[in-house]
Parts: sequence; C-alpha cells; structure tokens
Amino acid sequence: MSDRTNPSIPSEPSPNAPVHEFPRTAVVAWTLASALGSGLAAHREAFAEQRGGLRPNDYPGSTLPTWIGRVSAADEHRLPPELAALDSRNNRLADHALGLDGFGERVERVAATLGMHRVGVLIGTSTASIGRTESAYAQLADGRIVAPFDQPRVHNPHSVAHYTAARLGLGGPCMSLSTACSSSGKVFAAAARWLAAGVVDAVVVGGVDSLCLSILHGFASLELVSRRPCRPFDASRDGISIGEAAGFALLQRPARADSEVLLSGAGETSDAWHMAQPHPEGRGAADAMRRALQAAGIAPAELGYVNLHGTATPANDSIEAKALAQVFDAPVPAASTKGYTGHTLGAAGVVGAVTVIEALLARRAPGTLNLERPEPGLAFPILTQATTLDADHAMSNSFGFGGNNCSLVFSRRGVSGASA
Amino acid sequence: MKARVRGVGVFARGIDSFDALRAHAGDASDAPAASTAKAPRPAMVPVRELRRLPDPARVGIEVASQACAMAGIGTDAVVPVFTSTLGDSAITDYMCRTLAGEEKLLSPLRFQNSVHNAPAGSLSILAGNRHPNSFVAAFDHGFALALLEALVLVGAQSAPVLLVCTDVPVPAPLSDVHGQGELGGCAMLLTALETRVPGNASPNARSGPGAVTLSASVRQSPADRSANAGSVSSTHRTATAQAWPLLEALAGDSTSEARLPVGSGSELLVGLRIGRADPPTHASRVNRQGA
Repeated sequence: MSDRTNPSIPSEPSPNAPVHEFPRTAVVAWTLASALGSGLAAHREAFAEQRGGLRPNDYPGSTLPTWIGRVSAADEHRLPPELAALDSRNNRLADHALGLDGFGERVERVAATLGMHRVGVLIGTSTASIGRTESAYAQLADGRIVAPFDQPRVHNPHSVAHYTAARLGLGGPCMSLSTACSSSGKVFAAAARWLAAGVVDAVVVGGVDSLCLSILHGFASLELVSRRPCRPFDASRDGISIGEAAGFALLQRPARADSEVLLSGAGETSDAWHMAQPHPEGRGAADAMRRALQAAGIAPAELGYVNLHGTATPANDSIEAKALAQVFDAPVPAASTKGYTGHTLGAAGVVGAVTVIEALLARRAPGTLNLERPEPGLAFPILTQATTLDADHAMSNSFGFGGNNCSLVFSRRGVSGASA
Repeated sequence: MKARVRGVGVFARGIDSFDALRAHAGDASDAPAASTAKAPRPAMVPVRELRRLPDPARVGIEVASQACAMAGIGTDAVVPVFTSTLGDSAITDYMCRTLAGEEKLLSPLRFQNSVHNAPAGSLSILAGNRHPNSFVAAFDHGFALALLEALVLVGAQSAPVLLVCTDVPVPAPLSDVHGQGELGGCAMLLTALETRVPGNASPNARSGPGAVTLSASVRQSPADRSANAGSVSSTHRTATAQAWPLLEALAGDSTSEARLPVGSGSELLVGLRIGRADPPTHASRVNRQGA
C-alpha cells in the first residue's frame, strides 16, 4: 500500500547518506519507584533476594482477576500545597519518585548552575493521568465534570511532564513523548539529540504511568492479562501483569558532566505491521537492536546483558527471542524483569534503563522471575537467575503499540568504544 | 536549527488543501469560520480500512499525504513526528463512560486505538513506513514542541521529517473542562537545506514550497508560573490552531516571525524566510554552546 512516488529518497538510509554519529550522553543521576519499592536500594535488594512486587489485584473499582504491580507509597502521597490543583495518582507517583535518591535535589543544584531555562523536561507516558479522568466520569454531577476534577492541565497526555517541570522549577522546553510502551525508552534518545543540538544543557528524562481502569480492562479486552503473576518466556505464560512505576534520569553532555555511565547508543524503528501485534519475525525489534549497537559502535559480542521487553504475552516473548537470534550469533545474557515489576507500560522504558544502569555499576544483572520452564523451541536462551555482568555495555528493549520499537545501549564510562 | 519547508498539508476550518489556503490568503477576507467538517477520506486508505480508522488518524493521514505529494516524496520515506493536544477525545470519552459502569467491557479495537500514538501507527502501517516515528504531547504548547522535535531530527539524521498535527472535537462532559475543540490537522515536510527534492520547484524559486527556509532557536522567556494552577483561563487550542499563523505566512509567501512558548521559561523563536537567503538568527548563537 506504499504510495512511494520518488525513488531518489529511499525508505532506508542509503550508504551515501551523511553519517550522523550518535551523541554519547552522560547519565548523571537516576531514581526509580515501582512495585519493588521506592528508590534504588529497594530495587537492588529485591533483585538480590529474587523477591517480586506483584500482588492480587486490589486496584479500587476493579475486580479483574489478575495480579498487579502497585506502588503503595503513591496511595498515601500528597502533592505540595502550591501544586495541589494538579492532583492525580500519576502526579503523586511522579512526585514521590522525584523525592527519592536525592534526585530532585541534584536536579535543582544543576539547574542553579546552568540556569533554570537551560534544563529541559522530556517524559514518556502512555496513560498519563487518565485514571483521574476516569474518576471524574465516575463522579459526574448532572452529567457534568465538577470540582475537584475541573483540571485541564491534568486531563491531558502532557500532565506529568508539566507537573515534573513545575515541581522542579525548570523553565526549559517541556515535552511528553507518548508512543505507548516504548515512550520512556525514546525520551533518552530524544534528549541526547536535544543536548547535541544545543537546545538545552541538561534534560530530566523519565517515564511515569500509574494503574488505571483503562489499562486493566483494556488489556483484558484483548485477552492479554494473566490471572497469575506473569511468567515471561515460560511455556505456561498467558499474559501480562500490569504495573505502575515512575523513574527519572538526569542527562548532560559528557564533556561537562561527572558520571560513570553513558547512554552510548539508541535504535528506533517501526514495524509498519499491526497496531497491537508485533511483526511475526520480529523485524522492527531486530532492526532497533542492530541500530542501537551500531550507534554505540560495538559488536553484538561486546554486549554483556539485555533487559528484554519480555511482557509474558505468548506473542511478544517468542517474537522477541526470534529477533534476538537474528542480532546475536552467540547467546548473551538476556532477561525480562516484568515478573518483578509487572509491565509498567509508558514507564517500562525507564524501568529497563535504570535496571541496566544499576546492573552495569554493580556488575550484576537480574534474571527472569517466574521463569521455571522455558518455552520449548524458543529461538534464544533466556536467563533465569541473576548473573555476573563482566562486560561494559548493556541494552534495554522497549516495544509498544503502533509497532513502535526502541533499544538503548548504556556503557560504563571510560571503556573502549564509550569514551566521551 | 534550519530546515527547508518542502510540502504543506491542511485540513481545517473548511480548508482542505494548501492550495485552498493560498487562495484564501489571496482574497484578504477574514479568517474562515471554524468548520464542522467531517473527517476526510484519504486516498491512500483502502475503503475497507476507512470505517475502522478513527478520525484523528484520518485527519493525520490526509494532511501527511498532501505534504508528501507536494514534495513528490513517498509517505514511506519520511520520519513522522505527530502531535495532538488531547488525542482521540471520542475514545477517551467512550472508555471513561464504559469504565464508570458496572461491566467495564471495552471494545478491543477502540482500546488499541486509544493509545496517543495510534494515528502515527496507522500511517506507518498503511504507508509501509519503517522509519521511527514519535508522538509529541505538550498540551497548549504541542505544535511548538513538535516543531522543535522535527527540527532537531532534521539535523540528526538523513530522512525528510514530516510534522503532523491532528485534533478532533471534544465531546461533553470533557468539553466542560477543555472546551469543544475542532476537527483539523496540518502537516509540514521539512528537510535539511541542502537536500534535493525532485517534486519541488527549483531551490532558487522565489516562492512556493521548497523556497521557504524555516529557522528556529530556543531562548529564555520571562518565567510564567501561572500555569501551575489547576485551571486555565482560556480553553485549549488545537495543535493546528497553534500552527495557524505560520501556515498563513507560508500560504502568503510572507516572511514571518513567531515566538512560541516551549516551557514555562523558554520559547521557540521561529523565522520564515522566502527564497534561498539564510540570514543569521539567534539560532546560530545559542546552538554554538552545544556543538
């Protein structure tokens, strides 16, 4: 159905096209809140103890028989009074995470040096504050949305990026990327481009998606929700466990930043296949991984770990394994952590990114929780237990509806192929 | 940041093409009234697909096709950057109504089309476009951020970049909060200055697509903290409404400058120049910091 009319503009980059090197980018600070707990230490402990965060569905208003990754801290958290008009579960979850691991303070120190308007905000989200809109509809008065739900800056997909900028007092460009479950992978790539182009001098990237009825019952309508804790790559897997998470990272150009980790490559592609199903041969996923490796300037064998999209749907996992087999001639340690956190949708990219960054620094990477009996005939071996991570490069995959794929490569700083 | 505008698509306010906008610009009458137009039927969408395709995708694909056709570039050969102020408000309303009931049984088709990036996914599927696409959301700054993202992408990779805005009306009770909105979209096909595009007039042409240089830079603006309050005084504007002054300048072959907020303390300074001349702008000064 292509209507290509001009053969001189190829649909794939030509060998003669100008070479655009990927702008290596320093990851200066990061934090994460998920069902595993609040902050990086909680995640380290949970991975070390192989303790998952899923629990039977107790999300208010839903009796769906499934397990969820709920961040209990978001239940009680309240926004500061001056921002209380922006109240939503999603913004509470974001606010909670910004207070962890000294992240917000670090951003404020950097912004004080660079100038508030030179620090941008780039957040990935799929559902944003739709849970708040659901609540507004559940409490209509004479068919109208009434206080306290009269919140135009909450009932829109940009709500959490707007909140983040307001909370941190940042005046630079503030943008949301909403490409379903690849959203908060793509913000890392977009922020690297902003920094290289001089748009800003630092970017707060992140991903925030909170539990809501739309996602629980939407995925149920597609028959993609498991009744048990999700089991990525297992022969018995039968769907996802839905989770919520908020994660953030502060990115700067490497020459001016003190950091141990670089974003060294990104690969973004489209399947051009189906709105809600991956290409059957994993074409777009494989291309995203290849491009990320190429951008990082490393061979597949130099990669020490891949944090997989690994949602535990029957289709995703077998197709992602096929894609891995196309990219890697020899097995690399590859695992999904969705059994720990659930699938956090628009936040899945940043959950994967932070997991990989932490693994590179600790030289230890988590395995695949709930994987007991790998699917026979899987095209690629999947790691069950945590493993030592000797290499200096690791990858995170996130794929989304619309056939939207993103792979990121992070590297320990100062090693071959990843110097600034 | 600089780019050449190679193609433009318009479907908004009773205007269904860039030619129609040019004709309108020539007659110097008042702005056309907001239209209640039905969603278009883009030629590239097979009839059997059309009924299943939500209005934001129909609008987006229509303007995308127009802009690509003007430049003679296939819709599979561009990097799409979409934006929409509120996304598919009809589906949002359907989902929230259904979920407020007891059964909570959602249509799988409507759920999969509820993701904000559904129109970009539809374009990539129908066009066979495997380039990465992005879907920007920035509420009342959506057009400015999508334009910024498109310009950054023009400088960061080789393919032409297609900026697409698409919005649809807002049903009650969401309209209590946001106003009624309107159906409309626009697209701009942008390339690096040196890229040769056969479908366009010569780069030396004095008017028309291909002869327009767009330059932009981000700079500090007076801090605006009023946005932190829960309510906003005016109702939202669609991305196309935000783009309208630039569209009119393009249609009128007029040199133009716009200041578009991109954050609470920064703005995108946009300049349109007709012809090849590329006078220095604030962009060169700001960009040098990050080179």
